[in-house]
Amino acid sequence: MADNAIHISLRQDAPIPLAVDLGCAGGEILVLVGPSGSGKTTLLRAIAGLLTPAQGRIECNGETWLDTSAGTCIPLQQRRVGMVFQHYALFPHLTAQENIAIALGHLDPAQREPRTRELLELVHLKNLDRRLPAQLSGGQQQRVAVARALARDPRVLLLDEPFSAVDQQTRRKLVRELAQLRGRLNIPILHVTHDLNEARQIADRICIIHHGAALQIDAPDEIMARPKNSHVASLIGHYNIYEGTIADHDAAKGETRLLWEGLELQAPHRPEFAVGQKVEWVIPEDQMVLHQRRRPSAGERENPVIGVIEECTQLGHHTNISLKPRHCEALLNFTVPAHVARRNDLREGEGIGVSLLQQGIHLMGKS
Amino acid sequence: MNQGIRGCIAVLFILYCITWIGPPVRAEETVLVAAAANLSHTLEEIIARYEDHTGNKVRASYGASGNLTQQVLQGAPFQVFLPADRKSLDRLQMKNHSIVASNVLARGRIGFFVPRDSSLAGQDLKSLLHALQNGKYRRLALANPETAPYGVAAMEALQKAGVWVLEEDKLLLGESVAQAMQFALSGGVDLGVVPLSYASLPEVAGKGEFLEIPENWHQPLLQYRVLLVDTAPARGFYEFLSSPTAKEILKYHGYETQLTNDH
Amino acid sequence: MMDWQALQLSLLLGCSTAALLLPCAIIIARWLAWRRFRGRNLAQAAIALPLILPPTVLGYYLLTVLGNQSPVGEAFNALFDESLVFSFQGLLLASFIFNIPFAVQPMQNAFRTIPDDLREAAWCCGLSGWRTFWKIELPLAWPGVLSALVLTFAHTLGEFGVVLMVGGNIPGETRTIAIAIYDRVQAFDNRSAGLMSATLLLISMAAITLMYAFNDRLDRRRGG
Repeated sequence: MADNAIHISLRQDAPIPLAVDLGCAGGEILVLVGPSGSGKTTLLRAIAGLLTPAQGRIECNGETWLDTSAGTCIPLQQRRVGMVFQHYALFPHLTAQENIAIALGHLDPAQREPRTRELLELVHLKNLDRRLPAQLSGGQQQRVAVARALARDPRVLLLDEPFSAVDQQTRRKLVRELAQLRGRLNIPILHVTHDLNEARQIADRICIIHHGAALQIDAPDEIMARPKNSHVASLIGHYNIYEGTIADHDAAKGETRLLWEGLELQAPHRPEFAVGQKVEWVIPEDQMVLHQRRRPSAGERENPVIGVIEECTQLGHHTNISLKPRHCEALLNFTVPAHVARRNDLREGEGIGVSLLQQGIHLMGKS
Repeated sequence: MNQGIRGCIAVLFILYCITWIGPPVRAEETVLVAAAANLSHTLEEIIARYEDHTGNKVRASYGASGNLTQQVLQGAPFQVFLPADRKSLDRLQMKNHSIVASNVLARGRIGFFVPRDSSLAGQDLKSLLHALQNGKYRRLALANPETAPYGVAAMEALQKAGVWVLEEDKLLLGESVAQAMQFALSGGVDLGVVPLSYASLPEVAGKGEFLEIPENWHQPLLQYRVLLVDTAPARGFYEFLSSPTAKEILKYHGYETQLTNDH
Repeated sequence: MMDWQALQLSLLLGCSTAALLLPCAIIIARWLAWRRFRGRNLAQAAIALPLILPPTVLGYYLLTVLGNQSPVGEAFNALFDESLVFSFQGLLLASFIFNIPFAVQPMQNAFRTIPDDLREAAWCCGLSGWRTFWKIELPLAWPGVLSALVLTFAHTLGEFGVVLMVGGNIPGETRTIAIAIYDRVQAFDNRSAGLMSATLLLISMAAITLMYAFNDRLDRRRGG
């Protein structure tokens, strides 16, 4: 079946471990996120055919590219893959135009020239076609690399940290262009990055990778709000991760009560956890509300935690606060605007209260 | 398409074109001669005459007779061989190398060459030997007796004169007589024992003086001619070496060509 | 006077050596630049050996291996009815061997500086290994390849010891310009020796200057 989608299933223990099962539909951007060394580039290279994993199966648009159990391994030259390398890997001795034309080997010679023009126009470079890569800016180089990747009329587009070598401003522009491009291409786009913000901006779905394993694949908001386990939670930047015990469920009120070191907290209803089961839970910092010291409000009744400020550090326009709750040793960390910290006279040793918003508390099974 | 590839192809093309010409073809008629170094200038004159007479080409390579014998044995494509001793001939025979014809060509002489700037300049043979016996000299150049027959003769002559108790560090051994002579000419050497034939060379004229060494001080220095390959051009040149013209030139350069055939 | 035949022979030997070595050295250089295998250091050492060995050692072994009494020499003799030592063919073989490091090392460095991802990008563009070599590797390694060729050529013109030992001093066959100079000095003919030395100096200087000029131009072009 030619569905424009790619299905990947890879297993390997050495030299770089891989344990991945994922699919990406035509026109979808799947962003692979993970710290450096997590195996995301290895995964891309395996798809492109630059390395062959010990076990696995890759199917793209109905074609089997790799099936180790059947001994099938299509050579990389025959896989219709468009790859944008981290440092673009443009051929330094060829002009922008030649860099693109070299990937048009599958076309008749007569068609190559007009196709090159089309691609240059697509990436807004038609006036720079005679420049060598060294004469182009980082952003322009990236566009040439994208055009070259698209030249083969690929069945899948692989982008390896394509924005890592350009400045912020150029990056915003390129991200926008990529979004436009996606609309025209009906092929899966796999994008590798270690930058979660970048991933959240462009991804239809995000795949969190660590040590070669795909830990969770979900839409960006879903992953941020509901990480599968504490491992994923810490990888996506949550630091308020704690242990607790399920106290009871109240289906009528739609809540589950949780005991945190003796303090009872109300969380969204999660009947899949048994009463008495040990769980981990996370609260994103934007789901914590600082109690106004002079004007108490109704929201403060929601999961209040009272404690003493252990550490208070101003960083630019923000102040990082570590709160030591009265009832336990764990610290709650959050950030407030610097002016809020000033107005509320937040200092080390001061007693304050915060509310953990019920909807923000996310329960996870212990990994 | 781009410069790299074009350059690549161009250079390759040029290289292979040049190679295609192949090694310079040695014309079949060209005779290759290996000759003892002492003969060099003399033989060049004989060759020039021969070429004038016949139009045939002769090319010669010079060196110490021992080295040349080694090369002939290793398969060097020489057709005529002119060693300066009987030993070289014997070695060829011993190794069963083909020898078409051979006989004695001439008898050579050796002498002392005293460079102009030498501390021994201006002395006669007697006072020269006296100075040698007393070690009153800096360096003495001669051909290496291991490979050069003229080196052997030099050694015998010095022994006969009673001065072969030489300080080794004062000896300058040339690979052949030619190198010994070149050492003597290049300064820092007080005395060379060299072929007397060099006395007639314009390159040497005025750069020092020659003192004859009596012929009975050493074994006769017999110059041989050996025909290694029996081709018409080679035989032609081999025969020409005993012609009156060749003999005249040899004589002019101090070689004795009236020989009894008992050698 | 100028020994034109010796000069021609030297130029021919230099060009032939460079032409013969070019494909072989490229294969060896790519292999050493990109492959990791057991005994790689040993292979590299063996290739560098002619750089540090005295020409006499090399000459001795070549004489032993190629001489008429050796199996190689006998086989060659039987095949071509010609001796391998003291012949142009033998000289070419010797020249090939003692030039290997001069050809391989600059090429190896040149190929090593080509980033891996460029070759991978070429494959991802659908280029076969052979086309990647022609379109990407060779143009990028070209300065190194050219240096290797020029060094080989110039070094062949200048080689003396090995040539004398393996080739002797046979006019028109093995008397290269370097040997001719030695020969002229031995004949006290300093004028000819001086003339030929100056010629050799000029040719070598010109070759190497051209190489630097070309590489410099290429650098500036690519550097943007």
